[in-house]
Amino acid sequence: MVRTSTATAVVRDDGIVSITIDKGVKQLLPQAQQNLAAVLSLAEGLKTKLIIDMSGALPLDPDVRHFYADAPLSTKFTAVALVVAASPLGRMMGNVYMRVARSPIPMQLFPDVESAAAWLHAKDGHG
Amino acid sequence: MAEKVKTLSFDAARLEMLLAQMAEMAGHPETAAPLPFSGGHDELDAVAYAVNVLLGELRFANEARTRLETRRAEELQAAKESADAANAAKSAFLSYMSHELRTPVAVLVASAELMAKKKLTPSESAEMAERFLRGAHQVLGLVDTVLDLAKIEAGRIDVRAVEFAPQSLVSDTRLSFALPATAKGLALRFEMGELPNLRGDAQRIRQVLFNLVSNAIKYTPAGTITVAIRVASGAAGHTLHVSVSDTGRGIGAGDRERLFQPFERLPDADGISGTGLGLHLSSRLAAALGGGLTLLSSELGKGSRFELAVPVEVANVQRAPASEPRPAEALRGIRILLADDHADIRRLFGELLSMEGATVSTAGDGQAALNMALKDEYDIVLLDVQMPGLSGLEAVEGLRRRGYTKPVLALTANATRDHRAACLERGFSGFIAKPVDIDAFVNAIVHHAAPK
Repeated sequence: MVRTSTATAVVRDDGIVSITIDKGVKQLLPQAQQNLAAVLSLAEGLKTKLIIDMSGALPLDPDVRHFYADAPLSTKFTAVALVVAASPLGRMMGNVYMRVARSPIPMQLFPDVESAAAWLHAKDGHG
Repeated sequence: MAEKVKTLSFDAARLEMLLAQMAEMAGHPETAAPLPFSGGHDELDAVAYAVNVLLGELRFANEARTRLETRRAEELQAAKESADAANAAKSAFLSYMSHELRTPVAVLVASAELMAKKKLTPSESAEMAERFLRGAHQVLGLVDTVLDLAKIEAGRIDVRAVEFAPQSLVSDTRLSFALPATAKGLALRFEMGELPNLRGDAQRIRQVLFNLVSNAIKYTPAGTITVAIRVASGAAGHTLHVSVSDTGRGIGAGDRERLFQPFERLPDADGISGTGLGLHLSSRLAAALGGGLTLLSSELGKGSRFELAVPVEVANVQRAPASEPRPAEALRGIRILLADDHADIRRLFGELLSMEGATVSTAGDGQAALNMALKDEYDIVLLDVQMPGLSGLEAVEGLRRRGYTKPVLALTANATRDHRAACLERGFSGFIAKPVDIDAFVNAIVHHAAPK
């Protein structure tokens, strides 16, 4: 497990890396850099999948949004599931991130971690 | 089938406020505040979020474009400044060269006019000839320096590694500078242990050494000039170290930084001849040879020590025997055909070769030379390569096609390796570079024309 100032990242029992953004905290560029470094370090030597739980996250500033969008997730992960708040705002935040990121790997929005993990398990090369 | 319609309910006042703020944003996109959220995370919050993202992305893209434009403007400015500096340097160089050339050329013209107008006594003639020669050598030296600098700038300096004896650096320097040093009352000393033959660009090494010794003589009012030559061996190979020390004026600390810059001369150099290019050219040549030229030490009033260090290889050849001094009238009995389209060259070289005992006939173009060589008996033919009509290259080809077997030497100002090879391929027996060194010229004729 890796704990940053704004998130907690773990490798789940099923081998999927998961990061949960703390509720109500503001992420600036240094915090975003910490969070990215955390998930990449947990995936070192693996080719696995990623769950990003941003259901509690506050809206991002443009520079942070672009930092996350340009992150080299495809070097370590084969698919990314975004967990967003089950609200119009939560879905809008998820959709905006997906549009800006233009990810080369499959990326989908989910209302909870269970449905996110189920989708990732169904992808090829589980674990 | 009944259509499913989703009914939304929200605060109308809040919607009006958001719309008013969006209108404000449209008027002031750079400074407008983001739309606030209610905390309900409802559809209005989602719209507010989307509008804020749009505004943020527009500003982000604008800032990125501004940074790019600023960087481009800075790059353009830097390129302009570099071009301006290059132009200024070029103008300064042309102005400097124009001035440096005018002086000796003015002496040449004035001497020639005097010789044309006035009947000179033998001693006046001798003095005039001496002045003429000095001016001509000065111009020639300047031209050589400029050409070398131009080649270095273009990355086309010819580095020719040949086998040579380090002893030849000592003998050549002694030959060239013993008299000038003695005339100034200076001692010229050499320090060199037993060294093997080496492989390197002897000509360029000699050129730098001569520049250092020439400067040492100029800037040393009294005392000794010492040339020390050694070879150091290490993991990287062998390095030839040639140092020149003097007991001269020395160089102040403030002048050392600009010592190797072009056109820079010491502040008290008035009255001492020089262009300010010698050390600059020497340092560039040293770098072109893979080495370096440094001022090892200097003290005002005590003297200076410069050192050239260049990588060399140790050769495995026999030391060449010392050359015999050239006897007087070395060309006695040799019949020479000289072809050059310049009348002055034909007259001048003709007289020089005649003074050496040769019988000289001349031709003004390649066709005349071809006809004369085939008709009459000559021991050797000297052909200028660049002639109008039938060129020297075409003339020698014509001679060889007709079975002509006598030696034919090329006279040319183009001293590059490729040109030499081309001349030899077309049928020339040898190659003499202009401007001609009279000793080398005569020796080459003796070598080729002597009966085998």
